[in-house]
Amino acid sequence: MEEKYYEISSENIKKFVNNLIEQHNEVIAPKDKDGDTFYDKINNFEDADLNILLPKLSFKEYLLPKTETLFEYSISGSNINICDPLENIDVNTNTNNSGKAADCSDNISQKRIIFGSRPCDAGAGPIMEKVFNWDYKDEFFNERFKNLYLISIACDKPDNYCFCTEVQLSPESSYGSDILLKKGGSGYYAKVITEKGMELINSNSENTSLFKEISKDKFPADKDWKAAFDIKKTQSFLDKNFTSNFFQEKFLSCIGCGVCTYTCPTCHCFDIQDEGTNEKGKRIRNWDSCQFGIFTLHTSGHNPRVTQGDRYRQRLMHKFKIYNEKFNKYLCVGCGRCSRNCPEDIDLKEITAELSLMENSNKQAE
Amino acid sequence: MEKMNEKIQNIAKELLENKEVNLIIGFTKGSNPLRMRSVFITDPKDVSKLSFNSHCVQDLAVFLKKPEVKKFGKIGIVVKGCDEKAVNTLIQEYQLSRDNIKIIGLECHGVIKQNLADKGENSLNQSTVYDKCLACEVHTPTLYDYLVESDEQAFEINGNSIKPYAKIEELDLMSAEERNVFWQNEFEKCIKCYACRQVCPLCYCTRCIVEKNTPQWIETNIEETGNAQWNMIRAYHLSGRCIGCGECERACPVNIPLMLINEKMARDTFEKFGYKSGIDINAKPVFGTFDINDFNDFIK
Repeated sequence: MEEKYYEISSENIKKFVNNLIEQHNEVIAPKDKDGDTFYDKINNFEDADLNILLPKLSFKEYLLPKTETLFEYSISGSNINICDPLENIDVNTNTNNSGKAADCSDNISQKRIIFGSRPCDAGAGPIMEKVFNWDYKDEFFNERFKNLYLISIACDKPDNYCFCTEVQLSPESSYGSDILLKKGGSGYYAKVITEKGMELINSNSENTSLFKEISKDKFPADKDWKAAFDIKKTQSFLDKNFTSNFFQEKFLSCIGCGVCTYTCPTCHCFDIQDEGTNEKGKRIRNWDSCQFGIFTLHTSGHNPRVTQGDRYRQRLMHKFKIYNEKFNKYLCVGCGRCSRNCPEDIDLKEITAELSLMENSNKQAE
Repeated sequence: MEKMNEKIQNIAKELLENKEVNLIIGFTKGSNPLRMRSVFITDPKDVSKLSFNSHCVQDLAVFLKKPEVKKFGKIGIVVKGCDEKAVNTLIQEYQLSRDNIKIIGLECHGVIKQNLADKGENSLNQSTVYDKCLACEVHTPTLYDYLVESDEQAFEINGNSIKPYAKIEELDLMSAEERNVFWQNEFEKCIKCYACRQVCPLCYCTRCIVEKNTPQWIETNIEETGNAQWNMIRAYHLSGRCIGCGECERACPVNIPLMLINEKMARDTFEKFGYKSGIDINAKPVFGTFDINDFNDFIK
């Protein structure tokens, strides 16, 4: 659709969010929890903490839950009950014609609105969508993605770990958002990018009246964000230096936990498991991480990624080379969570910048 | 800290030059002025990278379990008192030979909580340090080859009002049901990134119990049952072993107060068996020994 522009006061944005909650939507926003901020369900606009830069974790779990139930079964006597979350969903058109959800413990068609996400997090949705649709169409992801509405707020000031501009987004990017808000005027200026965004604004007549339409030129122009380094040069280094010692030396300090991958908005690896007894059980898929030693361990005992250097190299390769070769984008939104949350202070921005300067090296680094 | 850094650097240089060690593991400047990180030095020319301050939160002993690091053979390591207890326990549990490690012990008055430092906190006092520092009995390490004294004065702890891990007493007073609710709420947050395990110097199993699937001892789901099982099994595997460096709690990205469990288990171990971990390399691990005169009947 053609983008539309609006102005909305601080008072009215509050009314808008509270109206969305009253309309029985699940509204999720950055929320303070014991001194840190996480995306969580809010019951009132006041619950949202919009003063921080980024919540500690991304909202990935609303697209790819930590544990997703693919189906459940229970057996009693000669009765076998199977719960299939996709029961009422036409997998070809990805629509639910019955209008009701399958009788499972988790409703994958739950409509969710994320309010106050950042442009980096918003960008993660379409980046993951490509992976979940390039061959097999992942109905679970698609159903959740279709029902996720994003109202993002542009950033004024990225911190030292942020590098969205370097990975071809920006603190004011609207990529992936349904509505992008920018501070200014009597509160916010709003850019509505998608039909889903319009659906929220027109969800009732009061909501429509809260937004005052303006012309495109009244919407604040993006600042001239400059990239601190050229990510293409990083990619170029990765192209030529698979066997570089850089990885082995640099990642001696990596302890092999899953913090970087699990707090990453775009990392999407999972592991399918069956759990239960003869009477009751489920097939699930759990988050998994390429940083774990057993991730690539073969049944034979052979492991193609022996060292932590091999494993972190994989993370770099996947994000800045392999994904790019396939989809012409990077598998990274530059949110910097992996760096902020790393127990050993491994800083991805620092590393990608360092590699960009070593572009012409084709042997051992350092 | 200048003098201290110089001493650390000189010791490291000497050890490397005399080929007494092949690798020095120490602290160096991190991604911002209030963060420090580990550094691995093999060339005496690089020792100037070594430094220490109250932001050196990491327990470097964790690297001693890493196969890539073990390859270096003889290693020199910079440790605070709490980290030294981890080295001590690794030696006690036959994971490390005393002959292969040179311990550069540092006098430490405490380290500033990383979440506070990330918000700009740079002063060392009783409200900014970890609980482990308030409870610390090893400001000066007990086992070392070299000792580097601190240039700075220890901060004063005011009165007796400071109770490290005060929440433990609160939990002890709860009914089992209430306690269960408390921990369920905490474990619900767990994302099973296993940072607690990976950052722990004493979680050194080459194959963790959660990775064993014939049979599957621990449910794999990252939900109520799987999370509770994982966190409980880890607590038991560290009982009588955990030396209280608090790294699991620091590394946890969802702020589960893991030290309440570990500290509680440590207190119980001391109360019931008179045993503290990480003190004596020649002591027998409390749950790894059998005494024919044990006062408990069930064990006979």
